[in-house]
Amino acid sequence: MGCRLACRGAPLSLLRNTLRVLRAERGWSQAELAERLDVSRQTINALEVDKYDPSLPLAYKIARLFERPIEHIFLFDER
Amino acid sequence: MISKQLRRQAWARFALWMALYVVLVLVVSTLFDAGQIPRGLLVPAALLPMVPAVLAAFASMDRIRALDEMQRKIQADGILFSWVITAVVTLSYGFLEVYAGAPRLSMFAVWPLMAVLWAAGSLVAARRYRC
Repeated sequence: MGCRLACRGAPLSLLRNTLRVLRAERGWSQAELAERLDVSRQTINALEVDKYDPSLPLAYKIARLFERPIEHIFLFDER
Repeated sequence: MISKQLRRQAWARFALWMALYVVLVLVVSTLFDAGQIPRGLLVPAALLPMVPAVLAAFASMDRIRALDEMQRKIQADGILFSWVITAVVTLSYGFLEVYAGAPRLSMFAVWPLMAVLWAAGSLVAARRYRC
């Protein structure tokens, strides 16, 4: 969240997510999470700072990894 | 990870074909300079380096396909930027050549222009996803 607040410019994505919190709970680095999801670390960073909306398959992959329903991780921004 | 392996393999193939391309360019240009190419073989000999170049292009496409979804989007943005600006620059220069006496430029100039614009476009696109 701290990085999100300090981030330059408006978020590009329409979704908000709890990825950073979930990752921190498990003590994983961005690189470790990227490895588990088979994406780059840059993609994890972009997801965490709301600069990128994942595809549906990637969102499902994330939900499965964290064993949470997709809508508990990704929330549509009503603004 | 699977995509990492695919990317590595694609890079290896790209490097191999590019190395062969450079070797063939050197060999073919040396033979042309020495006038050792028979007249009937001028066209195939001139195009010979393009065989590994085409294979390198396919390896490069495989590398992009093996990227993750956001990285592919960044590359697509870069390629779109390059495509649009190259069209504007080459058409503009074509008109300048025909109507304003600008010096003739080789077709070899087009690809380096596209490549530089692709890199620049990708860098700009990548910045948009960074904090």
